[in-house]
Amino acid sequence: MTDLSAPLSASEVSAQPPEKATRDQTARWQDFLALMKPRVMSLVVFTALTGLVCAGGNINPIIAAVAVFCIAVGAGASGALNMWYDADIDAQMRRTRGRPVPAGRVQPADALTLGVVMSLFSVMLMGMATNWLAAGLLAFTILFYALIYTVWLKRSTPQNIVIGGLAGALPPVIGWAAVSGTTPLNAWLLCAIIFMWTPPHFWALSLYTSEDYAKAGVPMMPVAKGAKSTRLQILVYSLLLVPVCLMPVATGLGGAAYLAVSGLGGAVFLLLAVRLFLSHAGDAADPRMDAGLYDVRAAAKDARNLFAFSILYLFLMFAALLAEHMFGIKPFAALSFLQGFNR
Amino acid sequence: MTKSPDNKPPLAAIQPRMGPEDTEQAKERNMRNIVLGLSLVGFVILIFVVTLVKLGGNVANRPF
Repeated sequence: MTDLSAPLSASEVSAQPPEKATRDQTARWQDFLALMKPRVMSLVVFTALTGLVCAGGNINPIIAAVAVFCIAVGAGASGALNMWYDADIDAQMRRTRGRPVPAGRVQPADALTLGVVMSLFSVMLMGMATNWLAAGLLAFTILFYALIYTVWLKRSTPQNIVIGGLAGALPPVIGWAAVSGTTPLNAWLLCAIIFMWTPPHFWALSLYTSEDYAKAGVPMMPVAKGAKSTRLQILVYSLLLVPVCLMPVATGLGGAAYLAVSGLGGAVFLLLAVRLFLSHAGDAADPRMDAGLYDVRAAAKDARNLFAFSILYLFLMFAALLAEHMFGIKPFAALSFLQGFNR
Repeated sequence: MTKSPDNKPPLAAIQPRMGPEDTEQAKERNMRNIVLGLSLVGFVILIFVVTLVKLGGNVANRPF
């Protein structure tokens, strides 16, 4: 069996770039914006805003906006550091070879500088504007994503996105801390939802892009353990995710709208996860099978369905929480005794 | 080559002729510099506003 879990060295990878980088190109400002992964940033902003609103404290609207801005810039800085370090991997994959650094539009040193400067700026401003607990959590999130996930886990273990998912799950806790200066159970519940959501979300994606990861030597779960094992683990994580998503109802964080969205959405999520488990998605792309790399399109339909729905599911749950707390909808009184655990 | 009175070559002979690609690159560089400048101005305004909000009203009447 090919040992795909062994990371490729930078020299091995850079020796075989897919396309010649044109180093004389001038970087546009849009390239620097692209380094900050704006689409990821938008999800981070949304979840952080939800945490901030759910905290329910008394915060100046300008300070609240600055806190969300800092979290967005911190997420962007993480993205820039990730693109700087992973340029060798990104150049190997179809999905990422057009990114500014591997395409040669931005010099690696410029990406590193942007990431470091933005990290310092976001953490310092967060500390000055809100409190140092929120700033510390933001600094931890950036360092965790840039060092623990990008430098260490991504190239060394199939559990990379499980553990690394913590970085993506922390923004609501940072938002909560920015308002209240504390991180109660409900804040960590929001974190737990995103943390448990990440593996089925990313593994569904990697089931139909595993050939890219295999080529780049990234030991994503389908590459390292095969598609069948990945589909089983997606199902297990989905079974764990749905109860976690329902827990905010018990603690009083979520109301009727949240219960409806998380319950019905959870049922659909489980249905799609079961269908994916019973399918052959990813089999054709399994590097341990004698099949073509790109003939997975029809079979990958179930994986694509779960991937697409997972985004909608997370968005709807956080939107429901946001709406309930913005419009002051009360949680279920019958379950309010559980709120005592949240002090 | 025609030399100027102080025995130096004319400027046009030293500077490479700018083609359409160079002009495009110069435009992109200018735009990048403008965005960087605006970001710095935004940074200053942001710190100023945060300072005002953190200090709160009636700041001039506070005891030293």
